[in-house]
Order: sequence, then C-alpha cells, then structure tokens
Amino acid sequence: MTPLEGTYYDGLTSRASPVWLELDEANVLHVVGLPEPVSYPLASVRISPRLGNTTRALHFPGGAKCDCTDNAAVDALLRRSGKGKLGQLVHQLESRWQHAIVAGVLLVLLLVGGAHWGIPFLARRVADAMPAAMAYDLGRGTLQALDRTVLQPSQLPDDVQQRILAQFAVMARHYPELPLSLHYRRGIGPNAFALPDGTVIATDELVELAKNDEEVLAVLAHEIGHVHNRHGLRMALEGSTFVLLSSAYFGDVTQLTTLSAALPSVYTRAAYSRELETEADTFALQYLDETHIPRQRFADIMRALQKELGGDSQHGLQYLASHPPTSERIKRFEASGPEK
Amino acid sequence: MNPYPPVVSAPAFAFAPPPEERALRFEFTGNAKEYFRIWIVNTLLTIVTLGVYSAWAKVRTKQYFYRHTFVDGTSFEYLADPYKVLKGRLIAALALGLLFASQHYSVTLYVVVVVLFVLATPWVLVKALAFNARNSAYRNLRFAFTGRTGEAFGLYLGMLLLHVVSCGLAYPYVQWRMTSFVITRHLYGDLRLWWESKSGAYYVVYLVALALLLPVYVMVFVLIVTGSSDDGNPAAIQPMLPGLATLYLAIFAVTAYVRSRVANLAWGGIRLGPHWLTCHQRARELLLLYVVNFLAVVGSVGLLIPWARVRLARYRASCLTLHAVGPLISEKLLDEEAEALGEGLSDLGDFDIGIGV
Repeated sequence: MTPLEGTYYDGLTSRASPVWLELDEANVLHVVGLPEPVSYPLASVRISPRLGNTTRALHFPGGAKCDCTDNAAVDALLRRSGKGKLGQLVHQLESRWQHAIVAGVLLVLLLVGGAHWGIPFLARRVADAMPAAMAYDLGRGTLQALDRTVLQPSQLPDDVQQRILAQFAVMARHYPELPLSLHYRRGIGPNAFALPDGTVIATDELVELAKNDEEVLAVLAHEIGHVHNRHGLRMALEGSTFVLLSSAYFGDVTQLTTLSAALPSVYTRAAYSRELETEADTFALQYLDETHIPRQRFADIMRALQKELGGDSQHGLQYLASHPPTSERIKRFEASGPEK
Repeated sequence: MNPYPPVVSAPAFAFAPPPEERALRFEFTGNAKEYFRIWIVNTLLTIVTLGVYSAWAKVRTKQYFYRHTFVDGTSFEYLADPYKVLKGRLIAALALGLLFASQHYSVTLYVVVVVLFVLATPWVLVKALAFNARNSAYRNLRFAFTGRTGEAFGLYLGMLLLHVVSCGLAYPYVQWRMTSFVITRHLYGDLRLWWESKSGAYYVVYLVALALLLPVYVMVFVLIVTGSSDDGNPAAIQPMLPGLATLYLAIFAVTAYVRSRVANLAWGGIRLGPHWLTCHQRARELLLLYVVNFLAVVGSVGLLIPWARVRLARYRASCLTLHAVGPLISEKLLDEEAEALGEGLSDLGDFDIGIGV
C-alpha cells in the first residue's frame, strides 16, 4: 500500500515530526522519517474513529501518536486491522444527508409521539400509583389564591345553595375515596371546575343558567370525573415531565434552546385537556346512567353554556375552567341509550 | 511542586538571537453542514437509547469541536472514554434522584441532602476539571488540573461566605478568585498556566454593566408605574410591551458586554511559560451573534442549533491569539510528578462547569 503522510508526536514532548507510515505484508506499520525508525504491529495501534472530516489519530503503544488527514487511507488501515466496524457505522450514519433527513423525521415523530402518547401514558401511570394523601395534597390553597384574585363570594339564595349541596353530598357518597367538597363562587361567568384536592367550584351564573338541578348535577358529575381520574395531577406531571425530559436531552446544547424546548408543552396542553375532557365526560355519562338522570340534561346545559359564552370562548380563566363546549361532546350525550 | 511558572531562562550565549515572537491566531474550521448531520444523528440515537448514547454523543461532539480548533497548524484532541462519561452521568442522575426523592419524605432529610450537595460541590468541581484537563491534549501532550479538593473546599466556602456577607458586592472579586484558581492549577505538559488579570478589571466590567442597566431599569419601572394605573385589565399590558422589549434587549446587550469582557480577561490573562494569550472579543459583535443565534434557533424550532454553535465557536476562536516566543515546546510530566499531582485515579466522569469563561 502507498505510504501515508502524517505528523508524529512521541508523547514525551510537543515536538512534531513529519513522517510516512508504511504497512508491510505482515501487517506491521513502519514509521519512516524519524531519526530512528519505529514500527508497531497494526493490531496494537488504536485508530480514532472517523468523525466528519476531522484529523485522525493513530495511538501507538507506549504513548506516541501520529495525526493523519487522509481519512480514506486511515479507513483502509482500519479495515485491514479488522477493528472499528461500529465506528464506521456511526460515521456512515452521520455523513449522509439522507440519514440526516431520516433522523430528523424520526426525531420529530418521536418527540411528537412522546408528547402525545408517551408522556400522558407515563403521567397516568405515575398519577394512579401515587398514594391518595399525596395526590389530593396538590392544589391545596389554590382556592384561597383564586378567592384573593378573580373569585367573589356567592350571592345565591341559601335555600338554593343547601338544596344542591344536599344532592352533591348524595353524589359524593358514591365515591367515598375522594375528598369531595362543593363551593359556590361568582365573578367568572357560568362555569364549574375541579381542583386536584377534590374541591369543586360551581358559579352562581351556572346555577342560574341551569333550567333544573339535574343539569347542575350533570356538570358536577363531570367535574368529579376530573378529580376521580386525577386529571389535575396528570396535567402537572405532563407539564413538568416534558420540561424535564426536554432539558435532559437538550439542556447541554445552549441556554437559548431551553426556551424552545419548553414551547411544545405549551402547544400540546390544549390537546391533553381535550382528551381529559372526554374521559371526564365518560365518567359523567356513567354516573347519569347509574342514577337514571337523562343524558340530555348534560347536553342541554352544555348547549346553554355554548350559547352563553359564544362558541369556544376566549375566557380569561380558560386554563382552570376546563370547559371548551364543543358540539362533538354534546352529540355524545344526545345519542340515545347508554354506551357499551 | 513548585507553584511558580518556570522562569524564562536567559540565553545561554550572549550572542544568541533573542527568540522571535509569533502571533498565532486560533481558528475553528468546523462547518454547520457537517456538524448538523453529526448532531441530528447523535440526538436521535440519544433519545432512542433513552439517554445512554448521550455519553458517546458528548464525546463525539467535544472531539468534533476540539479537532476543528487549530493553533499553529495543529488541532486539539479530546480523549475521554465514553464509558467513564456514562458512569459520571449515572452518578449525577442518581444524586438528582436522591434530591427529588428526599423532598417527599421529610423536610429535614431534604435540607440535609441539599447541604451535602453544597458541600460536595468543590469536590465535584475539582474532579470534573481534572477529568476534562486529563482528556484534553495538544500535540500528544495532555493538560492536567492540579487543584486539590481541600484547597477548593476552603476557597469555595470562603467565597460563598464573602458573597453573602457583602450582599453580592464582592461578586467580581469572587469570580476573579475562582477563575484564578481554575486557570493557575492547570498544566500543559510540564508548563504551568499563569494568570495576570487583576480583580480591579473585573470590578470595572461590572460597574460599567451596572451603569448601562440602571437607566433601563428606571425607564421600565416608570413605564410600568404609569402604564398600570388602571385596574389589572390585561389590555393594560399593551402599552408596556415596548418597555419590556427594550428591557430584554438591554439585558441581552449587557450580557454580551459582560461575557466578552470577562472572556477577554480570563483567556487574555493566561501565560504559559514564555508564551501568552490575548483575547479580543467585542461586545457589539457578540451581541449580534447572540441575537442572530437566538432568532435562528427559535425560528427553526431548534434545527439551526448546530449552525448557532459553529458560529459561536468560530467567533470565539477567531478572537484568541497565542503569542509564542520561540518554539512551542512542552514536555510530558514525569510519571511520579503526575502521580503526586493527581488525587488518585478515581474518575467521576465529565460535567460541564461554567466558570463564566
């Protein structure tokens, strides 16, 4: 084989010596050009894996090394030595645009798929596995914080409050494992939402909008569904897991990218909540069927909410008020007969 | 071990010509297209292997940047064993897991773990610097970090105390002192790095930064006070937006100023035997680089990260000059010396440690 040009460093000083490398038939590598020529069996030479078009290093036993810029020739040496197959494979992957494009597409699919299915799946497993005391601890104090900012005390007549509270207590008895409590507030329009600690808030405006108590109960059943399925906890886990995973994978890239890494979780939150809404709807459906409340009640109140709020509303409290009223959801309740 | 740098010996013969000074510019020769393919494949492999490949990705990336950084016609080399990097990452993951888990059990346990973390910081710092130095080579001679854990521990606690007692006013001194420790405990071969920057220069940098930021803060404060006179209506945010944008741009600009000056002081103060380094980053150029990189990375949803990194590396290298007096010769540290310097060979793997350089 033709001699290979290189720069030799003995490892004892930083002095560089221009040399040629020659491989003989017995697979011994001769370093030519030094005051005293040296040679090493090829099998004892550690050849650095190819990386882009960077200079390669041949590390010799004893600490000397030779830098070579002729990547093709060094690859030929590596093949002769029968080593470095994995390194060559990695270089193959890294050097072709086709592979880069495939990798990019796979990366996007993995990230999107992971955000869409993987993380909600993990969040659900973790949320379900969490002890009740810990799970319902989350969100404690949220109501007080909301009271200080956006919520106002209820002005509903006492008898109305008591009547619905009594029916809520009957509902709550179905789920003794949940620390449920109902509170009335006003100030954010017709709405209801549940906090992870089992606090369910119904607004005066919702009660006033409802044509009968069963409509209110249907909405409350939906909210209990959120508590039962630990949706608040899952949302929190999904949010933090995504940021955690993103920063783990992209954290050491640059500080600037932490921002863009956090963005997907913001985008996907809307999709998560739609999925969770459906779960809570299923829960409400089951409850209505069990207690022989017509499903139509939920459809009616949803329609009224939709009308009141003007379609999918842009309400300021949308993130807590987990009710984007959509026609699809209403249709589910209007379809005749209980679902199998 | 002699803590002073080897003295430049006088010429052996009176008539020997004085060694000639050569200004050798650093150069980064990597390109974004090549690095993009490496980066995207390594990122994918890292995710597919649930993070295990990250150690190999780390070594390849570092080696890529080292091998493309040239001075005097030769590039640097990164020689770390990915398995050791992986070990370090596993230890770090375990430690973080311990920290999070302790949160759930009791406040006391959590506080104990946090205090242990703080106390372990100097040890981790020394181990990481030593790992990085030992695996960095130029012309087949490795660097070495000779700082001791005990020394780092005293310095770290002292500086922490000083920082707290002075309410942060001593920060420039603290940064100078830590940088001094990190640089002067490094060896290249048997040449010790020496550092000539003064703490006063660090104070000047931060005073100028403060002077630049102060009017911006006042302006934004005035804008917020006058802008939020009506109730907490979200629409009231609108008139504040130009003020907020100015604030962010000003923070970007001041960051660029501080980073460039601190880099100049840190790198530019280094002496290596008879040779020395100069660094001349400019705040304006760095700011432009940061802003363009930021917009490119955010606008491309991260796809231009490799391009941004290559640009930064190219700029940083182009600002660095090695002034060589005579040939660039260093010798390998004798084995017994190396043994006396290193604190055992237990590797903790690599951690990226920013010391503001």
